[in-house]
Amino acid sequence: MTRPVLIASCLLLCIFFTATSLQAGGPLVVGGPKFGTDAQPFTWDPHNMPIQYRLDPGPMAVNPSNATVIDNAAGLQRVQNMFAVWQSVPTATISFSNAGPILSAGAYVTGADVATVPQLNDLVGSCKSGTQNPVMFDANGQIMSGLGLSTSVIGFASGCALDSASGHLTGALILMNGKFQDGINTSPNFELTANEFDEAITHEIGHFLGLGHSQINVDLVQSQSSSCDVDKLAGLPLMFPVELCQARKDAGLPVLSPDDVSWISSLYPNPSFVSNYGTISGTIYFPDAVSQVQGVNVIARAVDDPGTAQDESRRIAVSAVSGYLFTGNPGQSITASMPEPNENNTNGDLDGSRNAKLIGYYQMAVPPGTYTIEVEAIFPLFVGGSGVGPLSPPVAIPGSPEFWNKDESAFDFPLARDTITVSPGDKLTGIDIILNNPTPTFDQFEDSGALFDPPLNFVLAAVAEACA
Amino acid sequence: MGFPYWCYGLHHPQASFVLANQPGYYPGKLGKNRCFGLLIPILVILTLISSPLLAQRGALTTRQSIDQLTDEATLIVHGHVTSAKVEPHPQLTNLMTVLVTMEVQETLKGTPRKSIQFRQYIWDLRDQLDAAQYTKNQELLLLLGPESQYGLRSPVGLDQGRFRITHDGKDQPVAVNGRANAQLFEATEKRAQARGIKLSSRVTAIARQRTAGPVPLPDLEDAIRSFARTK
Repeated sequence: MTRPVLIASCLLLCIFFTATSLQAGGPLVVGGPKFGTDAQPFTWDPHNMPIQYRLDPGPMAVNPSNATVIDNAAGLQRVQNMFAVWQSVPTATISFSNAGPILSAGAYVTGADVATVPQLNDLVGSCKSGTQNPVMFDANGQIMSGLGLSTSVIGFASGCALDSASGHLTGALILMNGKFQDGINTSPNFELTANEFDEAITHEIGHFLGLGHSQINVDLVQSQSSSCDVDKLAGLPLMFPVELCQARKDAGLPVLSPDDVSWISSLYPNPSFVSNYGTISGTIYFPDAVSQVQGVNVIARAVDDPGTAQDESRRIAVSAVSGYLFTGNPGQSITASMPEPNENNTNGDLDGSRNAKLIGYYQMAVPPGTYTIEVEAIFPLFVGGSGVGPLSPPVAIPGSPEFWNKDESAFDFPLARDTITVSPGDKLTGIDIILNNPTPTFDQFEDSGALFDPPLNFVLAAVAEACA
Repeated sequence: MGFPYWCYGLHHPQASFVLANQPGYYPGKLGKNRCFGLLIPILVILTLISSPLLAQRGALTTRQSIDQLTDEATLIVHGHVTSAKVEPHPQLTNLMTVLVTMEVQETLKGTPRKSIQFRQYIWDLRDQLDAAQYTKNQELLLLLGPESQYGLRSPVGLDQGRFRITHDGKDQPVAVNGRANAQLFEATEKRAQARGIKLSSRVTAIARQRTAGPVPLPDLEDAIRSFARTK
């Protein structure tokens, strides 16, 4: 080997094996080294259940003539049912209680219908201080309108407060737009069925509990019909980023998908969790089989039972995004585009671990059964509010979508798959996937294949170290 | 120099997520010559689809088609963000907002103007950290709702009325909203006919495509103008 070739080879090796500077379904917020508990999702304190919410004493919906369409009692019942969807998960330890009407705060006096933006402002303040978790009915959409929000906003959940020492959520609120339930359906005053509306707010309660978004059966995004295939809808998480299909209840399905049930149980496990779930974990690697890939969607799908008319592989699925415990923004000050006053991004985000072993790590809990494991990209336009996993925008998967098999390599056939049988309490580790790709790490395609010119002192140091 | 990874199978995300769900899908390898032919357009697509898009966190919205978004908007402008600052509402100090200033290139609906400034309510901590992803020099087509009595306003449909403008492989501007334009033209043709609006042949073709993804900016503006004229 000639000297130039040797040096070039050493340089390439140095570059390939230098830790990649990657930017980075499951939890909404994950602790970091100085924020909560490192690599642990923020949750409400399971030892401090039930979570107490306080309800707006006003009607849930009124029509434009201000006549009540859904009164407070009916609204309360529906809110309790929505919370009960999460509370009734048998493997999770979550409970809620209605602590009564919203407490006075600022100019808001207890017993009054929450109907104005200044009242909301005062209640946000009391939520931020951890005093109460208000659940509010914007009966005629006037609060949304006062906030300058579109008539298409069904509702929102807002985390108001968290304890960064303990890693627990301590305050949240929900505002729901009663205009969708006022019995009038003319643009721009849209109407939803009760089931559609309640499922949207139940999704928001998922965020209230600390759940992020999940992606399964994402091909439904391309569907131009809002009447979705029932098998795919069954597996579509309630925590999917956008509302696409008919209400799950209207299709005869439970409100929560297997993915929702799995994740809420993982965040709030009760003693029965281990006897009803097994876990699958592993790491997603670049084709070099060394560098980890963050931001790849990993899905465990049940193997279809040919003896049934249903497609279990679409219905029973659980997902996790690789590196969901790692920070999505490790921090650097060169290309930071953060707004004032946060332009200096040197330390990155508070949330997410900096433990490099977690960059490509995933873990998911699945019900007992036989599964295939596959990887895919996060839908590229799920960003910001629609984001899934730690990266926004998501990255292009550095390889093709593929299944896991026992002989994982960068050269295996993407459709070659082996199945995994999971029994209760199993902890199946090392289900790693090496992506197929001719270039070993991100470095090769960041600038369409041209290698960057490293500083001379870096080159000399790298050559000296690798070739010593 | 080796071939970029996507030469060995069209597995950019938008292709892969669909194909991966099809039985028997295998992202076969392409020949090198064909790969070079695809290099530039795929690069452009990758750049486009991996660009930060727009959304506001923690809210579910109903789907709205472009005619409905246009009807609801009181101001539709195309321009560039010149600043975005996160700050509490001046009077309602528990409410966080992002104050966005834009230089306007074109006004498609509403009173023409050279610049606009609006204050948007943001309730999610993440939006407070990144100004709801408004960034300086970002080119946007914004369909804004009316300003409220508290001086707040937002894009209609939140991320649906917020189109990022980029350029395709032929350097033509294309627009995509925070929902990847999914169902943006759903039933639009039918409603246009009902309102006696004749859509251009290009807009009609887009409406019939029934696929998500960026649309040419001139065609989107054409559709918006058609509906804005008749409201």
